[in-house]
Amino acid sequence: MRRVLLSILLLALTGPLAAQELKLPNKDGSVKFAVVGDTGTGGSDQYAVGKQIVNFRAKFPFDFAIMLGDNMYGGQGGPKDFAKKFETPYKPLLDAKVKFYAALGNHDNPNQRSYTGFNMNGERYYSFKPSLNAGVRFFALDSNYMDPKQLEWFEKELAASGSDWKIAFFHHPPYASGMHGSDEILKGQLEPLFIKYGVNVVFTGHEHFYERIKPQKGVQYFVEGSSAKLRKGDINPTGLTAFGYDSGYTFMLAEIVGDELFFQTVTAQAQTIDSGVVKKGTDNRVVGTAGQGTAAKPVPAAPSAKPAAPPSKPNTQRPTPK
Amino acid sequence: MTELIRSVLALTLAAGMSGCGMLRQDTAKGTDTVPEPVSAEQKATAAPSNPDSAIVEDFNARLDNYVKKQRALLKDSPVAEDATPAQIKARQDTLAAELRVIRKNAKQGDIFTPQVAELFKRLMSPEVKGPDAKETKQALSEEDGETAKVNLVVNAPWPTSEPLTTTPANILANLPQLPMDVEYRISNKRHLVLRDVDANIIVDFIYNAIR
Repeated sequence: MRRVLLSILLLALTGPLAAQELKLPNKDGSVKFAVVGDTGTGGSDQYAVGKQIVNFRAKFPFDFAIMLGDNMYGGQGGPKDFAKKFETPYKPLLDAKVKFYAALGNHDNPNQRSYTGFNMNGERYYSFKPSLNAGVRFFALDSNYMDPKQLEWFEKELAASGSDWKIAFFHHPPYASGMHGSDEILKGQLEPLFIKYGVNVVFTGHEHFYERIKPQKGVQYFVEGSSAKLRKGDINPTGLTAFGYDSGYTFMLAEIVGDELFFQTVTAQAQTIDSGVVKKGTDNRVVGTAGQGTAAKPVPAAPSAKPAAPPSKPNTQRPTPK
Repeated sequence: MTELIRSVLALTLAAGMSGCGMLRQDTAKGTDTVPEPVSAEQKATAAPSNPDSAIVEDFNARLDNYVKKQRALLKDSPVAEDATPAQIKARQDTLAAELRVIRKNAKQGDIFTPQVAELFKRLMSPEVKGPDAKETKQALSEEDGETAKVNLVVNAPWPTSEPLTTTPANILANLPQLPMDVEYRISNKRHLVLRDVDANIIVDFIYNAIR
Protein backbone atom coordinates (compact mmCIF):
# COMPACT_ATOMS: atom_id res chain seq x y z
CA MET A 1 0.00 0.00 0.00
CA ARG A 2 2.86 2.31 0.89
CA ARG A 3 4.46 1.62 -2.49
CA VAL A 4 1.25 2.48 -4.27
CA LEU A 5 0.95 5.73 -2.40
CA LEU A 6 4.59 6.50 -3.09
CA SER A 7 4.09 5.82 -6.78
CA ILE A 8 1.10 8.11 -6.93
CA LEU A 9 3.05 10.79 -5.09
CA LEU A 10 5.97 10.40 -7.48
CA LEU A 11 3.69 10.60 -10.48
CA ALA A 12 2.03 13.68 -9.07
CA LEU A 13 5.41 15.30 -8.53
CA THR A 14 7.20 14.23 -11.66
CA GLY A 15 4.22 14.75 -13.92
CA PRO A 16 4.39 18.51 -13.74
CA LEU A 17 8.17 18.39 -14.02
CA ALA A 18 7.97 16.38 -17.22
CA ALA A 19 5.30 18.78 -18.32
CA GLN A 20 5.98 21.52 -20.78
CA GLU A 21 8.90 19.69 -22.29
CA LEU A 22 9.16 21.40 -25.61
CA LYS A 23 10.48 19.27 -28.44
CA LEU A 24 9.95 21.56 -31.39
CA PRO A 25 12.93 23.53 -32.68
CA ASN A 26 11.23 26.76 -31.59
CA LYS A 27 13.29 28.84 -34.00
CA ASP A 28 13.01 32.56 -34.46
CA GLY A 29 11.01 33.52 -37.51
CA SER A 30 9.40 30.11 -38.01
CA VAL A 31 5.65 29.65 -38.47
CA LYS A 32 4.26 28.44 -35.17
CA PHE A 33 0.70 27.42 -34.45
CA ALA A 34 -1.54 25.28 -32.27
CA VAL A 35 -4.18 22.78 -33.36
CA VAL A 36 -7.35 21.93 -31.44
CA GLY A 37 -10.38 19.93 -32.46
CA ASP A 38 -13.85 19.17 -31.15
CA THR A 39 -13.43 21.73 -28.44
CA GLY A 40 -16.83 23.21 -27.72
CA THR A 41 -18.07 21.37 -24.64
CA GLY A 42 -17.46 24.02 -22.03
CA GLY A 43 -16.49 21.15 -19.72
CA SER A 44 -13.58 20.79 -17.34
CA ASP A 45 -11.54 18.85 -19.86
CA GLN A 46 -11.69 21.66 -22.39
CA TYR A 47 -10.52 24.05 -19.69
CA ALA A 48 -7.71 21.69 -18.67
CA VAL A 49 -6.46 21.49 -22.24
CA GLY A 50 -6.81 25.26 -22.59
CA LYS A 51 -4.66 25.74 -19.52
CA GLN A 52 -1.89 23.56 -20.94
CA ILE A 53 -1.97 25.39 -24.25
CA VAL A 54 -1.42 28.60 -22.34
CA ASN A 55 1.44 27.01 -20.40
CA PHE A 56 3.14 25.80 -23.55
CA ARG A 57 2.71 29.11 -25.29
CA ALA A 58 4.91 30.67 -22.64
CA LYS A 59 7.76 28.69 -24.20
CA PHE A 60 6.48 28.35 -27.72
CA PRO A 61 5.04 31.73 -28.71
CA PHE A 62 2.63 30.87 -31.48
CA ASP A 63 0.47 33.64 -32.90
CA PHE A 64 -2.49 31.62 -34.11
CA ALA A 65 -4.41 28.38 -33.68
CA ILE A 66 -6.62 26.39 -35.99
CA MET A 67 -9.89 24.82 -34.82
CA LEU A 68 -11.05 21.65 -36.52
CA GLY A 69 -14.77 21.97 -35.98
CA ASP A 70 -17.44 21.16 -33.40
CA ASN A 71 -16.67 24.48 -31.82
CA MET A 72 -20.04 24.56 -30.03
CA TYR A 73 -21.63 21.37 -28.72
CA GLY A 74 -25.07 21.22 -27.15
CA GLY A 75 -26.96 23.73 -29.13
CA GLN A 76 -26.06 25.80 -32.10
CA GLY A 77 -24.15 28.46 -30.27
CA GLY A 78 -26.08 31.04 -28.33
CA PRO A 79 -24.24 33.99 -26.81
CA LYS A 80 -23.60 32.12 -23.56
CA ASP A 81 -22.14 29.21 -25.47
CA PHE A 82 -19.52 31.43 -27.06
CA ALA A 83 -18.44 32.63 -23.64
CA LYS A 84 -18.44 29.26 -21.92
CA LYS A 85 -17.09 27.15 -24.76
CA PHE A 86 -14.59 29.48 -26.35
CA GLU A 87 -13.92 32.88 -24.83
CA THR A 88 -13.40 31.75 -21.24
CA PRO A 89 -11.31 28.60 -21.68
CA TYR A 90 -8.98 30.39 -24.11
CA LYS A 91 -9.13 33.82 -22.51
CA PRO A 92 -5.39 34.12 -21.80
CA LEU A 93 -4.69 33.29 -25.44
CA LEU A 94 -7.27 35.73 -26.73
CA ASP A 95 -5.93 38.40 -24.39
CA ALA A 96 -2.49 37.74 -25.86
CA LYS A 97 -3.96 38.39 -29.34
CA VAL A 98 -3.67 34.79 -30.48
CA LYS A 99 -5.94 34.43 -33.51
CA PHE A 100 -8.17 31.40 -33.81
CA TYR A 101 -9.14 30.27 -37.30
CA ALA A 102 -12.15 27.95 -37.20
CA ALA A 103 -13.58 25.30 -39.47
CA LEU A 104 -17.18 24.21 -39.05
CA GLY A 105 -18.14 20.82 -37.61
CA ASN A 106 -21.38 18.91 -37.72
CA HIS A 107 -22.43 20.43 -34.40
CA ASP A 108 -21.82 23.99 -35.54
CA ASN A 109 -24.30 26.56 -36.75
CA PRO A 110 -22.92 28.07 -39.97
CA ASN A 111 -23.74 31.47 -38.48
CA GLN A 112 -20.51 31.05 -36.52
CA ARG A 113 -18.89 32.34 -39.67
CA SER A 114 -19.91 35.85 -38.62
CA TYR A 115 -18.29 35.60 -35.19
CA THR A 116 -15.12 37.67 -35.18
CA GLY A 117 -13.39 35.37 -32.70
CA PHE A 118 -13.28 32.64 -35.34
CA ASN A 119 -11.77 34.86 -38.05
CA MET A 120 -13.84 33.35 -40.84
CA ASN A 121 -14.76 36.71 -42.37
CA GLY A 122 -18.33 35.63 -42.86
CA GLU A 123 -17.35 32.65 -45.03
CA ARG A 124 -17.98 28.97 -44.47
CA TYR A 125 -14.68 28.19 -46.22
CA TYR A 126 -11.70 30.45 -46.69
CA SER A 127 -7.92 30.56 -46.89
CA PHE A 128 -5.30 32.62 -45.18
CA LYS A 129 -1.57 33.18 -44.95
CA PRO A 130 -0.27 33.77 -41.44
CA SER A 131 2.18 36.29 -42.85
CA LEU A 132 3.09 37.51 -46.30
CA ASN A 133 6.48 35.80 -46.40
CA ALA A 134 5.52 32.66 -44.50
CA GLY A 135 5.55 30.31 -47.50
CA VAL A 136 2.44 28.59 -46.22
CA ARG A 137 -1.25 28.96 -46.91
CA PHE A 138 -4.02 27.41 -44.85
CA PHE A 139 -7.32 26.31 -46.37
CA ALA A 140 -10.30 25.98 -44.02
CA LEU A 141 -13.03 23.85 -45.56
CA ASP A 142 -16.61 23.11 -44.58
CA SER A 143 -16.73 19.33 -44.78
CA ASN A 144 -20.37 19.33 -43.64
CA TYR A 145 -21.37 20.77 -46.94
CA MET A 146 -18.89 19.92 -49.65
CA ASP A 147 -20.94 21.08 -52.60
CA PRO A 148 -19.60 21.59 -56.13
CA LYS A 149 -19.35 25.32 -55.49
CA GLN A 150 -16.93 24.81 -52.61
CA LEU A 151 -14.88 22.27 -54.53
CA GLU A 152 -14.60 24.72 -57.41
CA TRP A 153 -13.48 27.47 -55.03
CA PHE A 154 -10.93 25.16 -53.40
CA GLU A 155 -9.43 24.16 -56.72
CA LYS A 156 -9.10 27.79 -57.82
CA GLU A 157 -7.50 28.76 -54.53
CA LEU A 158 -5.04 25.89 -54.71
CA ALA A 159 -4.15 26.65 -58.30
CA ALA A 160 -3.52 30.29 -57.47
CA SER A 161 -1.47 29.59 -54.37
CA GLY A 162 2.26 29.85 -54.80
CA SER A 163 2.96 28.69 -51.28
CA ASP A 164 5.26 25.72 -50.78
CA TRP A 165 3.25 24.53 -47.83
CA LYS A 166 -0.43 24.05 -48.40
CA ILE A 167 -2.27 22.97 -45.28
CA ALA A 168 -5.94 22.04 -45.32
CA PHE A 169 -8.06 21.74 -42.21
CA PHE A 170 -11.66 20.70 -41.76
CA HIS A 171 -13.80 18.47 -39.60
CA HIS A 172 -14.37 15.05 -41.16
CA PRO A 173 -11.29 12.84 -41.66
CA PRO A 174 -10.65 11.26 -45.04
CA TYR A 175 -8.50 8.77 -43.14
CA ALA A 176 -9.17 7.59 -39.60
CA SER A 177 -9.36 4.37 -37.63
CA GLY A 178 -12.19 5.00 -35.20
CA MET A 179 -15.92 4.66 -34.90
CA HIS A 180 -16.64 6.79 -37.95
CA GLY A 181 -13.71 5.50 -39.97
CA SER A 182 -12.39 7.09 -43.11
CA ASP A 183 -14.90 9.32 -44.86
CA GLU A 184 -14.73 7.66 -48.25
CA ILE A 185 -17.07 10.10 -49.97
CA LEU A 186 -15.10 13.11 -48.83
CA LYS A 187 -11.84 11.39 -49.69
CA GLY A 188 -13.10 10.77 -53.19
CA GLN A 189 -13.85 14.47 -53.59
CA LEU A 190 -10.78 16.00 -51.96
CA GLU A 191 -7.87 13.63 -52.35
CA PRO A 192 -7.48 14.18 -56.11
CA LEU A 193 -7.21 17.92 -55.45
CA PHE A 194 -4.70 17.39 -52.64
CA ILE A 195 -2.53 15.35 -54.95
CA LYS A 196 -2.91 17.51 -58.04
CA TYR A 197 -2.11 20.78 -56.28
CA GLY A 198 0.37 19.61 -53.69
CA VAL A 199 -1.46 19.86 -50.39
CA ASN A 200 1.12 18.57 -47.93
CA VAL A 201 -0.64 18.30 -44.60
CA VAL A 202 -4.28 17.85 -43.55
CA PHE A 203 -5.66 18.33 -40.05
CA THR A 204 -9.12 16.99 -39.17
CA GLY A 205 -11.21 16.22 -36.09
CA HIS A 206 -14.56 14.44 -35.65
CA GLU A 207 -13.04 11.28 -34.17
CA HIS A 208 -12.50 11.88 -30.48
CA PHE A 209 -8.90 10.81 -30.24
CA TYR A 210 -5.51 11.67 -31.70
CA GLU A 211 -4.21 9.75 -34.68
CA ARG A 212 -1.26 10.29 -36.95
CA ILE A 213 -1.87 8.55 -40.24
CA LYS A 214 0.94 7.14 -42.32
CA PRO A 215 1.52 9.50 -45.27
CA GLN A 216 -0.99 8.74 -48.01
CA LYS A 217 -0.06 9.56 -51.59
CA GLY A 218 2.30 12.31 -50.52
CA VAL A 219 -0.04 13.85 -47.95
CA GLN A 220 0.31 13.70 -44.16
CA TYR A 221 -3.01 13.42 -42.29
CA PHE A 222 -3.58 14.11 -38.60
CA VAL A 223 -6.77 13.53 -36.63
CA GLU A 224 -7.02 15.78 -33.57
CA GLY A 225 -10.52 15.47 -32.20
CA SER A 226 -9.83 15.09 -28.48
CA SER A 227 -9.27 18.62 -27.28
CA ALA A 228 -12.44 18.46 -25.16
CA LYS A 229 -14.17 15.20 -26.05
CA LEU A 230 -12.71 11.74 -25.73
CA ARG A 231 -13.87 8.34 -26.83
CA LYS A 232 -11.58 6.06 -24.90
CA GLY A 233 -10.32 2.96 -26.60
CA ASP A 234 -11.96 3.87 -29.88
CA ILE A 235 -8.96 3.53 -32.15
CA ASN A 236 -9.21 0.33 -34.05
CA PRO A 237 -5.67 0.26 -35.40
CA THR A 238 -5.47 -0.34 -39.09
CA GLY A 239 -2.67 -0.25 -41.57
CA LEU A 240 -3.26 3.47 -41.73
CA THR A 241 -2.20 4.21 -38.19
CA ALA A 242 1.30 5.49 -37.61
CA PHE A 243 0.46 6.40 -34.04
CA GLY A 244 -2.76 6.75 -32.12
CA TYR A 245 -3.74 7.89 -28.65
CA ASP A 246 -7.24 7.46 -27.27
CA SER A 247 -6.60 7.59 -23.55
CA GLY A 248 -6.64 11.30 -22.86
CA TYR A 249 -7.37 14.81 -24.03
CA THR A 250 -4.84 16.38 -26.37
CA PHE A 251 -3.82 19.34 -28.49
CA MET A 252 -1.07 19.86 -31.01
CA LEU A 253 1.72 22.34 -31.55
CA ALA A 254 3.28 22.73 -34.97
CA GLU A 255 6.17 24.63 -36.45
CA ILE A 256 7.29 25.07 -40.03
CA VAL A 257 10.98 25.50 -40.68
CA GLY A 258 11.93 25.39 -44.35
CA ASP A 259 10.91 22.05 -45.80
CA GLU A 260 10.04 20.58 -42.44
CA LEU A 261 6.92 20.73 -40.34
CA PHE A 262 7.56 19.76 -36.74
CA PHE A 263 4.73 18.61 -34.53
CA GLN A 264 4.21 17.81 -30.89
CA THR A 265 1.04 16.37 -29.38
CA VAL A 266 0.45 17.06 -25.72
CA THR A 267 -2.12 15.85 -23.19
CA ALA A 268 -4.13 17.84 -20.69
CA GLN A 269 -1.60 16.63 -18.13
CA ALA A 270 1.22 18.12 -20.21
CA GLN A 271 2.63 14.80 -21.32
CA THR A 272 3.99 14.69 -24.83
CA ILE A 273 2.55 11.59 -26.46
CA ASP A 274 3.77 12.12 -29.99
CA SER A 275 6.29 14.30 -31.74
CA GLY A 276 8.19 14.32 -34.96
CA VAL A 277 8.70 15.98 -38.28
CA VAL A 278 6.99 15.92 -41.66
CA LYS A 279 9.43 16.40 -44.50
CA LYS A 280 8.48 17.50 -47.96
CA GLY A 281 10.49 17.14 -51.12
CA THR A 282 11.24 19.66 -53.83
CA ASP A 283 7.95 18.80 -55.53
CA ASN A 284 6.23 19.77 -52.24
CA ARG A 285 4.97 16.26 -51.62
CA VAL A 286 5.58 14.69 -48.27
CA VAL A 287 8.50 12.33 -48.59
CA GLY A 288 8.27 10.98 -45.08
CA THR A 289 7.29 11.55 -41.51
CA ALA A 290 9.43 10.62 -38.58
CA GLY A 291 7.49 10.37 -35.38
CA GLN A 292 8.09 9.26 -31.83
CA GLY A 293 4.77 8.25 -30.41
CA THR A 294 4.82 7.01 -26.87
CA ALA A 295 2.08 5.21 -25.07
CA ALA A 296 1.73 7.56 -22.16
CA LYS A 297 0.81 5.93 -18.91
CA PRO A 298 -2.36 7.16 -17.30
CA VAL A 299 -1.72 10.01 -14.98
CA PRO A 300 -4.14 10.92 -12.22
CA ALA A 301 -6.19 13.81 -13.41
CA ALA A 302 -5.75 17.07 -11.61
CA PRO A 303 -8.50 17.87 -9.13
CA SER A 304 -11.26 19.68 -10.89
CA ALA A 305 -14.02 21.90 -9.66
CA LYS A 306 -16.33 20.55 -12.27
CA PRO A 307 -17.39 16.96 -12.73
CA ALA A 308 -15.86 15.14 -15.63
CA ALA A 309 -17.86 14.76 -18.77
CA PRO A 310 -20.08 11.69 -18.78
CA PRO A 311 -18.68 8.69 -20.59
CA SER A 312 -19.49 8.26 -24.22
CA LYS A 313 -22.49 6.22 -25.21
CA PRO A 314 -21.75 2.69 -26.31
CA ASN A 315 -20.47 2.43 -29.81
CA THR A 316 -23.42 1.16 -31.78
CA GLN A 317 -22.35 1.90 -35.31
CA ARG A 318 -18.85 0.68 -35.59
CA PRO A 319 -17.99 0.47 -39.26
CA THR A 320 -16.37 -2.51 -40.76
CA PRO A 321 -12.63 -2.08 -40.40
CA LYS A 322 -11.11 -1.01 -43.65
CA MET B 1 -21.96 2.18 -62.48
CA THR B 2 -22.89 4.86 -59.99
CA GLU B 3 -20.46 7.21 -61.67
CA LEU B 4 -22.08 6.49 -65.00
CA ILE B 5 -25.58 7.12 -63.68
CA ARG B 6 -24.40 10.27 -61.93
CA SER B 7 -22.73 11.51 -65.08
CA VAL B 8 -25.78 10.89 -67.21
CA LEU B 9 -28.05 12.63 -64.69
CA ALA B 10 -25.64 15.52 -64.34
CA LEU B 11 -25.35 15.93 -68.09
CA THR B 12 -29.10 15.73 -68.49
CA LEU B 13 -29.68 18.33 -65.80
CA ALA B 14 -26.87 20.56 -66.97
CA ALA B 15 -28.28 20.54 -70.47
CA GLY B 16 -31.65 21.53 -69.15
CA MET B 17 -30.29 24.13 -66.74
CA SER B 18 -27.99 25.77 -69.21
CA GLY B 19 -30.77 25.76 -71.73
CA CYS B 20 -33.05 27.76 -69.50
CA GLY B 21 -30.28 29.70 -67.79
CA MET B 22 -31.70 29.02 -64.35
CA LEU B 23 -28.80 27.50 -62.47
CA ARG B 24 -27.04 30.49 -61.07
CA GLN B 25 -25.42 31.21 -57.76
CA ASP B 26 -26.72 34.72 -57.38
CA THR B 27 -30.45 34.69 -57.27
CA ALA B 28 -30.94 38.36 -56.51
CA LYS B 29 -32.33 39.05 -59.93
CA GLY B 30 -35.62 37.30 -59.36
CA THR B 31 -38.98 39.00 -59.53
CA ASP B 32 -40.83 40.31 -56.53
CA THR B 33 -43.97 38.43 -57.28
CA VAL B 34 -45.05 35.07 -55.97
CA PRO B 35 -43.51 32.56 -58.32
CA GLU B 36 -45.79 31.35 -60.98
CA PRO B 37 -45.41 27.75 -61.95
CA VAL B 38 -43.75 27.49 -65.30
CA SER B 39 -46.32 27.36 -68.05
CA ALA B 40 -46.54 24.57 -70.55
CA GLU B 41 -45.40 27.00 -73.20
CA GLN B 42 -42.33 28.01 -71.20
CA LYS B 43 -41.52 24.38 -70.55
CA ALA B 44 -41.69 23.59 -74.20
CA THR B 45 -39.45 26.54 -75.02
CA ALA B 46 -36.97 25.82 -72.26
CA ALA B 47 -35.85 22.37 -73.25
CA PRO B 48 -38.14 20.35 -75.40
CA SER B 49 -35.92 17.31 -75.22
CA ASN B 50 -35.49 17.27 -71.46
CA PRO B 51 -38.55 17.23 -69.23
CA ASP B 52 -36.40 17.45 -66.09
CA SER B 53 -35.07 20.85 -67.06
CA ALA B 54 -38.52 22.40 -66.84
CA ILE B 55 -38.92 21.03 -63.33
CA VAL B 56 -35.54 22.42 -62.29
CA GLU B 57 -36.43 25.73 -63.89
CA ASP B 58 -39.62 25.84 -61.87
CA PHE B 59 -37.69 24.97 -58.69
CA ASN B 60 -35.17 27.73 -59.34
CA ALA B 61 -37.88 30.29 -59.96
CA ARG B 62 -39.56 29.47 -56.67
CA LEU B 63 -36.23 29.51 -54.88
CA ASP B 64 -35.28 32.82 -56.50
CA ASN B 65 -38.42 34.35 -55.15
CA TYR B 66 -37.71 33.17 -51.62
CA VAL B 67 -34.09 34.28 -51.66
CA LYS B 68 -34.94 37.69 -53.02
CA LYS B 69 -37.32 38.29 -50.13
CA GLN B 70 -34.81 37.02 -47.62
CA ARG B 71 -32.04 39.21 -48.98
CA ALA B 72 -34.28 42.25 -48.95
CA LEU B 73 -34.86 41.70 -45.24
CA LEU B 74 -31.19 41.12 -44.57
CA LYS B 75 -30.24 44.26 -46.44
CA ASP B 76 -32.10 46.29 -43.85
CA SER B 77 -30.15 44.75 -40.98
CA PRO B 78 -26.69 43.64 -42.14
CA VAL B 79 -24.50 41.93 -39.61
CA ALA B 80 -21.69 44.16 -38.39
CA GLU B 81 -18.14 43.04 -38.99
CA ASP B 82 -17.51 43.09 -35.27
CA ALA B 83 -20.88 41.65 -34.29
CA THR B 84 -21.07 39.95 -30.93
CA PRO B 85 -22.63 36.50 -30.57
CA ALA B 86 -25.68 38.15 -29.06
CA GLN B 87 -26.04 40.43 -32.06
CA ILE B 88 -25.61 37.53 -34.48
CA LYS B 89 -28.27 35.53 -32.66
CA ALA B 90 -30.60 38.53 -32.50
CA ARG B 91 -30.29 39.10 -36.21
CA GLN B 92 -31.02 35.43 -36.87
CA ASP B 93 -34.13 35.53 -34.73
CA THR B 94 -35.35 38.84 -36.17
CA LEU B 95 -34.91 37.59 -39.70
CA ALA B 96 -36.77 34.39 -38.87
CA ALA B 97 -39.66 36.35 -37.38
CA GLU B 98 -39.87 38.64 -40.39
CA LEU B 99 -39.80 35.72 -42.79
CA ARG B 100 -42.64 34.06 -40.89
CA VAL B 101 -44.70 37.19 -41.28
CA ILE B 102 -44.21 37.56 -45.01
CA ARG B 103 -44.53 33.81 -45.54
CA LYS B 104 -47.36 33.18 -43.17
CA ASN B 105 -49.21 31.08 -45.72
CA ALA B 106 -46.19 29.09 -46.78
CA LYS B 107 -46.66 25.35 -46.75
CA GLN B 108 -44.82 22.19 -47.60
CA GLY B 109 -44.46 21.78 -51.35
CA ASP B 110 -44.32 25.47 -52.21
CA ILE B 111 -40.73 25.09 -53.40
CA PHE B 112 -40.29 21.34 -53.34
CA THR B 113 -43.36 20.75 -55.49
CA PRO B 114 -44.43 17.15 -56.01
CA GLN B 115 -42.65 17.17 -59.35
CA VAL B 116 -39.48 18.57 -57.79
CA ALA B 117 -39.69 16.06 -54.95
CA GLU B 118 -40.03 13.19 -57.38
CA LEU B 119 -37.08 14.43 -59.43
CA PHE B 120 -34.87 14.98 -56.40
CA LYS B 121 -35.59 11.51 -55.09
CA ARG B 122 -34.60 10.13 -58.44
CA LEU B 123 -31.40 12.19 -58.49
CA MET B 124 -30.39 10.98 -55.04
CA SER B 125 -31.35 7.38 -55.62
CA PRO B 126 -28.03 6.22 -57.11
CA GLU B 127 -26.20 7.46 -54.03
CA VAL B 128 -28.48 5.81 -51.51
CA LYS B 129 -29.20 2.59 -53.32
CA GLY B 130 -26.12 2.02 -55.44
CA PRO B 131 -22.63 0.84 -54.55
CA ASP B 132 -22.00 3.95 -52.47
CA ALA B 133 -25.09 3.39 -50.33
CA LYS B 134 -23.11 2.17 -47.34
CA GLU B 135 -20.81 5.19 -47.36
CA THR B 136 -23.73 7.55 -47.84
CA LYS B 137 -25.63 6.13 -44.90
CA GLN B 138 -22.50 6.11 -42.80
CA ALA B 139 -22.03 9.79 -43.59
CA LEU B 140 -25.56 10.42 -42.39
CA SER B 141 -24.88 8.72 -39.07
CA GLU B 142 -23.63 11.22 -36.58
CA GLU B 143 -21.72 10.81 -33.40
CA ASP B 144 -22.65 7.77 -31.39
CA GLY B 145 -25.53 7.15 -33.74
CA GLU B 146 -26.85 10.62 -32.96
CA THR B 147 -28.83 12.04 -35.83
CA ALA B 148 -30.94 15.14 -36.22
CA LYS B 149 -34.49 14.33 -35.20
CA VAL B 150 -36.63 17.21 -36.29
CA ASN B 151 -40.39 17.60 -36.34
CA LEU B 152 -40.61 19.19 -39.75
CA VAL B 153 -42.82 22.25 -40.04
CA VAL B 154 -42.43 25.01 -42.62
CA ASN B 155 -41.19 28.24 -41.00
CA ALA B 156 -40.25 26.44 -37.77
CA PRO B 157 -36.69 26.75 -36.53
CA TRP B 158 -34.23 23.92 -36.83
CA PRO B 159 -34.11 23.00 -33.14
CA THR B 160 -30.98 24.26 -31.43
CA SER B 161 -30.78 20.97 -29.59
CA GLU B 162 -30.30 19.02 -32.81
CA PRO B 163 -27.06 18.70 -34.76
CA LEU B 164 -26.96 19.99 -38.30
CA THR B 165 -26.42 16.65 -39.90
CA THR B 166 -23.75 16.63 -42.55
CA THR B 167 -25.09 16.49 -46.07
CA PRO B 168 -22.99 13.94 -47.97
CA ALA B 169 -20.94 15.40 -50.79
CA ASN B 170 -22.15 12.82 -53.31
CA ILE B 171 -25.77 13.82 -52.68
CA LEU B 172 -24.90 17.50 -53.07
CA ALA B 173 -23.16 16.69 -56.33
CA ASN B 174 -26.39 15.26 -57.72
CA LEU B 175 -28.77 18.04 -56.70
CA PRO B 176 -29.12 21.53 -58.19
CA GLN B 177 -26.73 23.95 -56.53
CA LEU B 178 -28.16 26.44 -54.11
CA PRO B 179 -27.29 30.05 -53.39
CA MET B 180 -25.40 30.59 -50.15
CA ASP B 181 -28.53 31.75 -48.31
CA VAL B 182 -30.08 28.29 -48.17
CA GLU B 183 -28.82 24.75 -47.86
CA TYR B 184 -29.90 21.15 -48.07
CA ARG B 185 -29.92 19.25 -44.80
CA ILE B 186 -31.04 15.74 -43.94
CA SER B 187 -33.19 15.08 -40.89
CA ASN B 188 -34.07 11.74 -39.35
CA LYS B 189 -31.63 10.16 -41.85
CA ARG B 190 -34.21 10.36 -44.62
CA HIS B 191 -36.02 13.69 -45.01
CA LEU B 192 -34.49 16.37 -47.25
CA VAL B 193 -34.81 19.85 -45.76
CA LEU B 194 -34.32 23.23 -47.36
CA ARG B 195 -32.92 25.32 -44.52
CA ASP B 196 -32.38 29.07 -44.40
CA VAL B 197 -28.78 29.46 -43.25
CA ASP B 198 -29.13 32.98 -41.87
CA ALA B 199 -32.55 32.60 -40.24
CA ASN B 200 -32.21 28.94 -39.18
CA ILE B 201 -35.72 28.11 -40.33
CA ILE B 202 -37.15 25.27 -42.35
CA VAL B 203 -38.15 26.66 -45.73
CA ASP B 204 -39.49 23.43 -47.19
CA PHE B 205 -38.89 19.70 -46.99
CA ILE B 206 -39.39 16.38 -48.72
CA TYR B 207 -40.46 13.47 -46.58
CA ASN B 208 -38.61 10.21 -47.15
CA ALA B 209 -36.37 11.64 -49.83
CA ILE B 210 -33.87 8.95 -48.92
CA ARG B 211 -35.38 5.51 -48.91
